[in-house]
Amino acid sequence: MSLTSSYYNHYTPTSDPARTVLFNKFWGSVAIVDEETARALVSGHVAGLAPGRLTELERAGFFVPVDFDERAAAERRYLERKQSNALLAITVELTQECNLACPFCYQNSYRGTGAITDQAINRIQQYVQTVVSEGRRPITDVALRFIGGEPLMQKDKILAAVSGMRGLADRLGVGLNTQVDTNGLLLDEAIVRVMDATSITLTNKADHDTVRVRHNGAGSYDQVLGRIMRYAEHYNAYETVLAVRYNVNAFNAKYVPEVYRMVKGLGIKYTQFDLFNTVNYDYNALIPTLSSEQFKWLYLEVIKLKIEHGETVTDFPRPTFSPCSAYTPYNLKVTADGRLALCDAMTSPRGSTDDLLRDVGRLREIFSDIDGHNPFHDPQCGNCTNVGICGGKLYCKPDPCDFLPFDLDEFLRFFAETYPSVPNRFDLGSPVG
Amino acid sequence: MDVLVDLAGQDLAARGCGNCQGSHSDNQIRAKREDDATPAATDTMGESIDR
Repeated sequence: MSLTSSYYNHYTPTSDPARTVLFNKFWGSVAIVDEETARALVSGHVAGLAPGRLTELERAGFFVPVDFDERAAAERRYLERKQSNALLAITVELTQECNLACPFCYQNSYRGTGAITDQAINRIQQYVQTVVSEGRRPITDVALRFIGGEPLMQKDKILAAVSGMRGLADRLGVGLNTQVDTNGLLLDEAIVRVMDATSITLTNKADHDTVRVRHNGAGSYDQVLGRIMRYAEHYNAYETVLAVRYNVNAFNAKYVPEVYRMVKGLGIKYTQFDLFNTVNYDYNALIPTLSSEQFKWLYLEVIKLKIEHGETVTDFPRPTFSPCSAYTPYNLKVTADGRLALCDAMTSPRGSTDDLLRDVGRLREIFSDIDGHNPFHDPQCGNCTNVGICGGKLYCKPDPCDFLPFDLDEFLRFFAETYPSVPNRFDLGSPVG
Repeated sequence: MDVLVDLAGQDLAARGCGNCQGSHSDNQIRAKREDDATPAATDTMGESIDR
């Protein structure tokens, strides 16, 4: 059988001309090849390669039969993954009210003071029940995420909603993962107990107290960290994840390693530390952000730091061929005023929970322009070798092609150097099913 | 030659909305981008963390 190089091969040079890192963007395979093999792969002339080498590269997906239409296979894989995604993501915006008054917040321009109604929460449960029981997607897990405003200002509603959804998930035989995105000021044992993860924003004290302020202008760092420390033993008792979100700007970037070590030293068993670049904050006029290149360099430094500390990282340019949450059918966000959106990032809701009462499929009709998204209908995406990694544009990104938080080549060089000695430090993902 | 990772034939499960970093407040389409940032004159954050 005649073979040719995969259309989805990516070549990363290293400082050693005899070593090229080979990455296949269709499957995610990684190899280090010598000059002769790299030349054969780039040119497609495979005749000179030893049969054993050819077989090994073919097995890993770097060579494919000449008559195999990879781009058609990519589209089939994408459409199948979109329909068979087993995770139903439900986001509930409990309120837009907040006990902080951060000057950068994206909700400042439209902040309301109401809270989601019990009726809306009941309808979300009915919606989940219908989507799962009717097999609209083959759901095995529901991810229930609470956002605000400050969601813990509606603590009773969270506790009732989690209790109701957990009972429903048990009856339906699906898993339930709960998360709250909170500023942490109202954190308590009950919340730590019912959540699988709490996402709390924390930077260094001086930065935190400047950008995350109370309505009277006072900083919130001590109170937030105090709450986390007070409930550290409960995080461990209930095996809850403390996910710290570090919003990076040009001034606080240098404190990232220090805060990372502080978080690791809290005595909480399950912690997660993630960097986010504040490229789109209103306070950028006062506090400069990192450039995309600077942020990506820092992000990779944090990956290295995590590995040094014995963490297993999940960062990898993983070709899952899965669209982002907004493009995955039946994912739902309900806003505090009972309106509908598709993912946590969507801030222009349409319709209301009333629309879902008779037919959950109404959600797809209301958002048909987004639901029907197929990147393979777009020549740019359809012919792009990154389509399996980015999923075919991100709904929320100003630049949908800037889809990785690290530089691909820098990551692959680092990966090729590091992975052989500590393979267990990299979680490359689990197969579907 | 050394194949470090062979994932051919494996359909990996998506990790939620990982590519957008999975958190709502960083994902908003904002008017201001890094290109619009006005550098401040001094570093007002220059103090170490208070534990």
